[in-house]
Amino acid sequence: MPLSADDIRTALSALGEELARNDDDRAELVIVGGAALVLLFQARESTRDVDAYFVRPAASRLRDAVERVAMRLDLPADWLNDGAKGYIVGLTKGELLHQSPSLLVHAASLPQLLAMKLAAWRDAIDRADAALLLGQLSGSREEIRAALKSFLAPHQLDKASYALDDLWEALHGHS
Amino acid sequence: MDIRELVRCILAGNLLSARQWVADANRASMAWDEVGRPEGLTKTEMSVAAGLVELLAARSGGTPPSWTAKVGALQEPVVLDPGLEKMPRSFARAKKEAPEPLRRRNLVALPDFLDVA
Repeated sequence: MPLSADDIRTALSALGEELARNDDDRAELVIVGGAALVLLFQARESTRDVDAYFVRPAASRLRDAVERVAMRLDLPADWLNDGAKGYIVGLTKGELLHQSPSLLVHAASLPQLLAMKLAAWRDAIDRADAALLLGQLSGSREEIRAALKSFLAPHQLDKASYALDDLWEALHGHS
Repeated sequence: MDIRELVRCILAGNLLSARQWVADANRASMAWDEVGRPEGLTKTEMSVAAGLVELLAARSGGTPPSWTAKVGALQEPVVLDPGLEKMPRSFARAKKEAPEPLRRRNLVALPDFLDVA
């Protein structure tokens, strides 16, 4: 069963409760990928994965709390994971998604989310997400292309560029 | 896990469920070489099944079962990604650079189709 925005919020709240049992410093995450889109725009449901960058503490120190939440809510043990960290270039924080004394969660910035969607560009889901994000940004095609460049690794530039051109023309024509 | 579910999700355009199926298969460390030849599929569905099994086996570092090699190409191309035809650059890439097990069977999808790693 896919996750709705409410499901993800419930899981983040439960994670905050689990983390509060420890005396550790406040944990901080930045959510990327589809889960960020679901939380920001409630446009669709997500697969049962929340991809995040673990600002602090390290993933190994969060894992127990993540697994306890998984048991409580019947989620996969790795429902929150940092498997996408290899795709994150130059992390930037966007909207605040959750805060409690033990846990702070932001989405990545909209330009970073768009850059990651264009670099992934796997299917109609990525195209719809990218269209939603592009609609939130202002500027010409070339201004947006330039703004995204700092979030892309060199080997991603070609794909992200043709993806942006296709998406731009689908939304705006050849302007 | 039943490969027919994945095939039917894709051909129905339900890509979120397809991604979830693949993520669950990865979590379960699916033994691709043990996937049996599915019964009751149309020719198109069988081509999609064989292409997907080969693709996902290769991505996981495994080997596909022997039956997939006997499933050939469709006569007409089938686009596995709804709306892709409206994106000219992406569509051209998909026709040229779709994963080989799909391209060989006349199945059109972007190079990273169903990559949920």
